[in-house]
Amino acid sequence: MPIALENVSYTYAPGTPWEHVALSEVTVRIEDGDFLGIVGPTGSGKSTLVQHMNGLLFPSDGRVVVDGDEVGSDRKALRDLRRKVGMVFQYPEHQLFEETVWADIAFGPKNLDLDEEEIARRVRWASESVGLPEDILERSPFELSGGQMRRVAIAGVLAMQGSVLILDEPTSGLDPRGRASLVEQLRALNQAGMTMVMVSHSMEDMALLVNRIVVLSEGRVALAGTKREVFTQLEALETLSLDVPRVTQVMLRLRGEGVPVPLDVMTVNEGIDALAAALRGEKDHASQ
Amino acid sequence: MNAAGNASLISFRKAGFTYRRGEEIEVPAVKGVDLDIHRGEFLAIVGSNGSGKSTLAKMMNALLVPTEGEVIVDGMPTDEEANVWDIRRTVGMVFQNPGNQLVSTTVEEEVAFGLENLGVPTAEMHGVIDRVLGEIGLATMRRREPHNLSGGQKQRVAIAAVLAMQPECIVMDEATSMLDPAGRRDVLETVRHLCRERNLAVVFITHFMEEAVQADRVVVFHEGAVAVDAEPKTVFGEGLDLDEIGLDVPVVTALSRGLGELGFDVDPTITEMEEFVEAICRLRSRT
Ligand SMILES: Nc1ncnc2c1ncn2[C@@H]1O[C@H](COP(=O)(O)OP(=O)(O)OP(=O)(O)O)[C@@H](O)[C@H]1O
Ligand SMILES: Nc1ncnc2c1ncn2[C@@H]1O[C@H](COP(=O)(O)OP(=O)(O)O)[C@@H](O)[C@H]1O
Ligand SMILES: [Mg+2]
Ligand SMILES: [Mg+2]
Repeated sequence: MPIALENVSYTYAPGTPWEHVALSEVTVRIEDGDFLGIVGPTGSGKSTLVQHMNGLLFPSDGRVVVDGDEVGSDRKALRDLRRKVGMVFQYPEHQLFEETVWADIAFGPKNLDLDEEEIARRVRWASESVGLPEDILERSPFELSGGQMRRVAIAGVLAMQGSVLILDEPTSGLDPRGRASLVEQLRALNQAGMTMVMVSHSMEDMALLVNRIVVLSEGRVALAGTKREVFTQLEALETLSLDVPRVTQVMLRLRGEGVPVPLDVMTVNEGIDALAAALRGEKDHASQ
Repeated sequence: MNAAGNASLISFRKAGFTYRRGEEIEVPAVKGVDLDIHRGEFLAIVGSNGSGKSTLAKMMNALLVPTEGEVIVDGMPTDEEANVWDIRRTVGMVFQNPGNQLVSTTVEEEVAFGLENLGVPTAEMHGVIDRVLGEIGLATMRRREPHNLSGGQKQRVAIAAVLAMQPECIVMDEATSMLDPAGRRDVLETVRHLCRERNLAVVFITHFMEEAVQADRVVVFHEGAVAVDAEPKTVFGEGLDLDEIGLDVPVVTALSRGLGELGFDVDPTITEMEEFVEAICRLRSRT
């Protein structure tokens, strides 16, 4: 179910004193099975962009085409779209509303007319996937810590088992272990064929997950390409207030000191290997 | 009094807090905490989701009153109704989700709001607003509506509004979580500066170990209690069992440990980039 944004522009509150252009002529294409990362400075239009992907916002100009059909205001088509394209919002507490955590996670599957057994199975699977302990399922979602609420919101969308998952800063607020296990889970879902779109400020998460990256700046696409293409454009990223992964920063500093390490190193394990190779390589030279 | 000769501003004395609803639900979120936070101190608090950090934070300015023990802010017990106003002036708080904190129709008014309540004269108020909006990088957004801003922009507004009140302590509960990397660094730098220059106490709750490393002191919170309270070097460098608690270490520490396991002579307690670069350069010069 490819999603294409073609020359999309979006203006909030047009014709009022609060008129604000949030997107200008953005073109992005998401193929089946993709894992697309969206990065950009605060206020660059990331959340606005992803809300076009499941018909929460409609372009002021340009169009959004999903599976060959233009997304419009037809209610039935929109309902189908939102079943297939799940969205985890930037502030997940805004999407919680049931009395208990269990009911909240079950809400989506219930609307899919599944039988009770299947609903229960999905709720258990989704809450395990995000690391929610059993005893939390009977509590009110409003009486949880920030990170716990986020896990509930993500579980609710996972339980829908749609074909596309959009996540707006999903790891923000998660502790390191929760972050690592969510990353694992997302990777597995993507490998099983689910298409993913993730907005994040964490270049570590980007390095571990995505295959392509779109960089937004002031509502426009500033850079786009594979993650290696994007992460090697250091100057461009820096002028946009963005980073490369921390490990890549370390490699850069070391290169500056004349240590022969590669720059396309993005994760801690790659970093250890690259450094070990560089240090051993030099020793071999010295002993020859 | 701490090592820097600063008096305690916030004291937890065997303080605990249990959330209660009806008879059946009881969540003991903070248990028997003894903790002193000093003027001019930059304290980071880390800990897993649900470990009690936000509850602890809310006890610092009487948003929550201990259900056991006591919390004293600048000599004032937080459980005395009459102290609440002064306590909130002394300890400003920025929440995990700023949306709930913003009340005004423009950014400028949002920052002015607290100052008006304090009875600051209008002329002086403008000066403070200009300075704070500049410091936090909001100068071009004064006329925007706070609730129509992006997540990160809202967080900046919430921080500016609290700084404008010139509290003696600012508690930031994951208050920069939605900012871009440069924005996070800028805000951290600004509060660090205020901490040094104006002897502001800063309590910085974060899931980013890279940020915690920059504090004077790190408290690791676990299951409602203080598990570790030490300098960053001790917390991250000495191989305490952070894994058990669900935390990780800074990237350079992870690299150092990894190289150590492969037999390279690298100090596994390194926590800063510059130290790491030096260590690698030293290794090379030996070969
Ligand atoms: N209003 C509430 N009513 C009942 N229980 C609550 C309430 N708020 C938090 N809790 C519970 O208290 C415990 C501590 O929560 P707290 O919000 O202090 O954690 P935290 O360390 O800030 O977590 P996070 O990293 O996810 O923000 C958790 O078990 C949580 O579910
Ligand atoms: N409801 C709204 N009304 C007016 N302007 C908005 C609204 N929501 C967002 N904006 C503005 O649109 C721009 C892009 O916002 P957003 O997509 O949330 O950014 P990001 O997710 O990249 O931080 C920002 O300048 C923001 O202030
Ligand atoms: Mg956003
Ligand atoms: Mg919290």
